[in-house]
Amino acid sequence: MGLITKINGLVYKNIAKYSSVTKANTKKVGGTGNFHNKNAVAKSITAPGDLTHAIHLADSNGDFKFTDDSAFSISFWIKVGWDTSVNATVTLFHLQDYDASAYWDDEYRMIYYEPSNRVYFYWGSDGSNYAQQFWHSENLNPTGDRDYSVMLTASGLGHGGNWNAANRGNVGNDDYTLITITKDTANSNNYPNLKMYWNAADCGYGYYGTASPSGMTGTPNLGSSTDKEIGLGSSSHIGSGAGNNVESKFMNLTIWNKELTSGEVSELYNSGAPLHAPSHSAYANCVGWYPFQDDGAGGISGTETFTISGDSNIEAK
Amino acid sequence: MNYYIVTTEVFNTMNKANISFRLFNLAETNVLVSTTDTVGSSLQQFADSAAAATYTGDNHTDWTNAGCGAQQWEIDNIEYIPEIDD
Repeated sequence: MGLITKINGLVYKNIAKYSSVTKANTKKVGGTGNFHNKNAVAKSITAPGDLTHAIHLADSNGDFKFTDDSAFSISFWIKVGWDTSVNATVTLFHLQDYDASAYWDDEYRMIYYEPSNRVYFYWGSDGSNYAQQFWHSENLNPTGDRDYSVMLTASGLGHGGNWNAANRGNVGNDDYTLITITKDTANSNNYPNLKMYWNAADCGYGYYGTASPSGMTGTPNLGSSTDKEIGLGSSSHIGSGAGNNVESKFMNLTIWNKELTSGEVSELYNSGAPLHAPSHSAYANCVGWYPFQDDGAGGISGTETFTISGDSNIEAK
Repeated sequence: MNYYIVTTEVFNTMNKANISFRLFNLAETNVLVSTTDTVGSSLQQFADSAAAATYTGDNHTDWTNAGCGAQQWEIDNIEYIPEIDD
C-alpha cells in the first residue's frame, strides 16, 4: 500500500520511469519513501591507515565497473567537517579494484587537498598512466579557458578561500553541498569531457584546462575487473586520506552510468533539498543510490551495501 | 629529484620554478620540498619521496593533523604551482 501511495504522488514522467524499472527496484523504492529529514553518515577519524573506521563497499557484481572510456557521473552531498589544520588530503570518493594495494590501481578518486585548496579528480591504471584535474578558488586569469573565477563563483568559497567547516561556501539545506562529477566516454580530463558541479553550478575549466599542461601522464588504461571497492571519506584500500578528527557527513551518494547533463544535475540538486533518487528523470541510468538514512544499504535492489565501521556511523544531520 | 626539509627563510630564496612539491609544517616554520636544485642549507635531506613521506609520518604531529604525514603519492603527484599557491 505504501508503494502505491508513493507512485500516486509522483508526476506523470516519474510514473513512466517507474514502469521501466524492475519489480525488485520498484519494491525497494517503496521502502525508502520517508527520505527527507532523517540521517546522514558521519565520519570521525581516529585511526586512519586501515579500514576500521571506514565507509567501505565491496562490489563483486560489476555495478561500478567503469573504465577510462566509460561515461558516468558521481554525486554526493557533503557537510564538510575538516578545518584548516588538517594540512593533508581529504578523500571524498575512491573507487578502485578490490584487490588494489596502492593508489593508481585502476582507480577513480576525488579528493580535497587542503594545503593547496584544490578539489582533485583522478583516474589511473598505475603511477605512470593517470589523468588528473583540479579546481580551486583563485581569482586569477579570469578569462579564456582558465577562467578560474567560474569555480570561485560556483563554490562561493571566496578568492583563495579554503574549503572547511568554517567556510563551506555555497550550501543547500542543512549546510550540505552537492558535489557532482560527470565524465563522457573520452579518456580526457579536459572540459567539457570532465566536469565538476558545485550545487549544480558548473565549475568550468579546471587548472588543466588546455593542452599544456595537460594533466595527463601517460595513457590511463583501466582494466575491466568487476570486483571493485568504494571508500567514502577515506581511501578504499587502506582508509587513509581521511582528514582530521572532525566529522564530515555524507549522504545520498548516487552513481550513474551516463554523463548527466547540466539540467539533470540541477534536477538532482533540487534547489538544495536532497532528491529522492527514484524520482529523477534519469533514474534508469542510476546504478548506485545510497541514502545513508539508516544504514549503508543501497536503494537499488541488488547493489551491495556499504560497511560503516568504527567511529563512522549513521547519525542526525 | 632532491627532497629536503628547509626553513621557511631558505625556501623563500629558492628557485620556485624548480620546485615540484611544497608542504609547510603546521607551524609554518619549515617546508618539505622536492626540487631539481641542490640545497646546501637544508635541515633534512631524503633519498627519495618514500623516505620523505616516512619522516613526516614519524613526525606527523608537526606536519599534519590527519594522524599521518604527507603521503608518498602527494609528494610525487601534487604539483606546486607558484602562480596559484603563493
